Amino acid sequence: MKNGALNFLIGGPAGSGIEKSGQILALSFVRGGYYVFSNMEHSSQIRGGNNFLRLRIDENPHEVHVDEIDVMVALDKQTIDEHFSEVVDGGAIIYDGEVVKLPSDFKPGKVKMIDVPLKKIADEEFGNPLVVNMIALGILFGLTEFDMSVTKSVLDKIWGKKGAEIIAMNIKALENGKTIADKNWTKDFGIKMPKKKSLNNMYLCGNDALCIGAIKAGCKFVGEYPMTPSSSVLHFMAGWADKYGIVVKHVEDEIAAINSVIGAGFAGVRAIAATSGGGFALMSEGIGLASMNEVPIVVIDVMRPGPATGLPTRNGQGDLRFMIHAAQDDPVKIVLLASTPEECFEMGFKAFNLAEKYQLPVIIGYDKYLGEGYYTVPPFNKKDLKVERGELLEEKDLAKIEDYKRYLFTEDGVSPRAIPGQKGGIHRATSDEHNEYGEICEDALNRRLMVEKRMKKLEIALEELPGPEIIGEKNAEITFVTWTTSVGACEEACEILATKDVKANVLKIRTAWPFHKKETLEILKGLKRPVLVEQNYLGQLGGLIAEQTGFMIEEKVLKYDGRPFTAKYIIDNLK
Amino acid sequence: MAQLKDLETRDRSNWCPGCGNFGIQAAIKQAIVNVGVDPWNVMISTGIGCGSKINQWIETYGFAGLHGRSLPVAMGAKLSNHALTVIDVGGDGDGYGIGMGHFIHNMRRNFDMTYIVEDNQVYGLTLGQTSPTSDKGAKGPSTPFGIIEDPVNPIKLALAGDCTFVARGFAGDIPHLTSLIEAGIKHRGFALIDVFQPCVTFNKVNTYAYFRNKVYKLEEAGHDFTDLGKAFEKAGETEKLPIGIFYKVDKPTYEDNDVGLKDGVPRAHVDISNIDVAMVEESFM
Repeated sequence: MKNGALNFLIGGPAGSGIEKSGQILALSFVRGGYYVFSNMEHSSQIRGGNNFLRLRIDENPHEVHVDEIDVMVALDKQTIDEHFSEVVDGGAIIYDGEVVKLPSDFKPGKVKMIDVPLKKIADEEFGNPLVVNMIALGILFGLTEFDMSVTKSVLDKIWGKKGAEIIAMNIKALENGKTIADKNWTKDFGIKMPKKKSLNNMYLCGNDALCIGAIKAGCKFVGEYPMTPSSSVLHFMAGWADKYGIVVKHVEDEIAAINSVIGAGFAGVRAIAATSGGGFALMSEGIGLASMNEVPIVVIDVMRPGPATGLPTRNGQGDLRFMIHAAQDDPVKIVLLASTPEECFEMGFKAFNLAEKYQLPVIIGYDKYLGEGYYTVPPFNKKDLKVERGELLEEKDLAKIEDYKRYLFTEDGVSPRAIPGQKGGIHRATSDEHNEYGEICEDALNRRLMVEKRMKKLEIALEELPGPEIIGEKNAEITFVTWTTSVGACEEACEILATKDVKANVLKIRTAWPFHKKETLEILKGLKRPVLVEQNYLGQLGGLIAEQTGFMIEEKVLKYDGRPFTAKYIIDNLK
Repeated sequence: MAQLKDLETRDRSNWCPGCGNFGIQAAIKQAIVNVGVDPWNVMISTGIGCGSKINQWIETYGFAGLHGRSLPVAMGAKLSNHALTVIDVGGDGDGYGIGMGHFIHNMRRNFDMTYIVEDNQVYGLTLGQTSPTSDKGAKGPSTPFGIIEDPVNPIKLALAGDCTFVARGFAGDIPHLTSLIEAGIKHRGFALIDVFQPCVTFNKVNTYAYFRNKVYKLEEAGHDFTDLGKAFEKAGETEKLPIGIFYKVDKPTYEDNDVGLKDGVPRAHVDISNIDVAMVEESFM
């Protein structure tokens, strides 16, 4: 336990306002100059079950949670049953003994048990059971001596529309909690979180970051069907549809989603569909269609464990192969892997440029932990971002072309692209194999040339796709080879290993397809001890690397229980 | 404004001689000419099947996609550029079989587009299996003992599905079919035109002669197409088969009400070169 760093967990049944309480707490600390990382673990049900939200609040940014808890708010007994062992000595559990009945032989050890009749206070003093969480947050603010004045502005932001009375009641509840803490507990509590200068940071999830990138890129069409953990992309874009003039269509299924996005791409509009594994399966044929007809589209796969329904609200990294191979034969596509909100933003922007420059589907894959995990980041760097539309023609260009061929054979495989409404560009985009005009054509030579034309685009694209990246120390004894959010856990594992005088670093893979064979092999050959880290049973990234480079990574830390890595888990599972 | 010769393609169609699709193709072309739209402002979306090849041989923009998925493509294109005249053409297998979900949902959305179904009551391109509209008892390689399901009645479905323009034509009466397609294009909303299309190769029952003998024109029978109840009655007739407009109603289109389109500018024409996201970022602070 140290000042300026607080690991917090709030847990209870679904529907008990955990997410909202967490948001208020997080934004308070973010506005108070701290970095907050949070991840919600919830079951796939709307009421009941046990959900919990972890907040890692620190003076420095983090991209992964830890299992230790300094303060826990337990709204049900299950939260204590499951997480008591994680509470550190000197830590505190805030709970209502009338609601959370602990057995008489419960031994708290060195954990402070802050038993407060939250429900009774809420009922009797506020006449509103909903303020329970706010009283508990007030206790936390009291314990840590955090200046709650900032929380008032947060409440205005979140509940401003509910009116001044509601805000005033919640502020009173916070103060009530603080008074309780100060009376008995504050003096002895070992973590203080003084308010600091605001850093003007954002508190958002990976899906949000991706959407900001997409809006910046000029995405004007969203075709989507809700699927956890990708749905917030749909909600976000729908929420901003009027301000940014975006057509956001919640369609009848993922097949309609992908095909409507293809229709938009064909018509010259930047379009996106986000989904998770099951929806991605339904989109597979459409991804092949975009590949064949050379239509620029962007598809997001926010991964959860599968197959079938799997663990709908948990974390997985098992769609790597699926993203690469989705659609029959050899579909031409780009697959990017994001591991941080900054990358979500950047890839969310650049994917549209790549899609239009190379006229193909671009898929961005990342896991639930990033998609729904919340991070504290400064406004994104937009300095070098430029909308690039590739070979998209204008009518004046078409006027100069006598015999327009939509699928003209060119050196780099990219053909000049006309869109409906343009005089002189009339053509048919055809899912059958076609000739340069787009006419159905079964000629063997034409087929060979067309396959090669489409494939050639990937060779050229590879040069501008983000390659394998070494993070941290050079000449490390251990190198974690990994992707998406396992990167953050591995980076923290490196920091911990450094304290034990073990030099470790991370090899992050950012593009799954096409694959940077040469660059990756070059790096791998120089490694002392590569360790594959990912969340699937087969070690899919390891398989891909072996297939593409011939290099086998023998040592593996794999996890497939639906729960994200921590740094500690990775270190504990090293040989 | 197009003339018929402007709609000729380099390529020539490869349907069986006598195929009903020839009549439908001729009617679509003539309707485009009659409406007076420029060919480059027309986009014809199709799926897969004999009839779905139709946009290969009409000189407008065309997208030939996947089996049953022509409507979502049409929807995406229409919402991206609502200045386009969007026509979707496909067979009964495409629209009433594999694509049924899209058919139902796009009717209720009421995009301003025209959906022409070449209804030949058989799967032609896969060599003659029965289709969702095959008459009960019809035989094919997948139903050698005769199909035991009742057929889909697309007109009834469309009426129940809040389609704002419901019509049926006959590929053997090109002038009449042309007038229906023309009315469908001019209709602001989703127009369904189901077309009796004889398949001369695989359907030896529902032939040109069969339809000539059975069809009659609703407008000649004094049908009031504003009367939904009467439209349902007509849709249920089987002895004689009515063609013409069953039902038509004016409603706002999807494009009229979409907040993303409130400035009226087709999305494809919006300048996207430098979009400011500051207000979105501030919302997270």
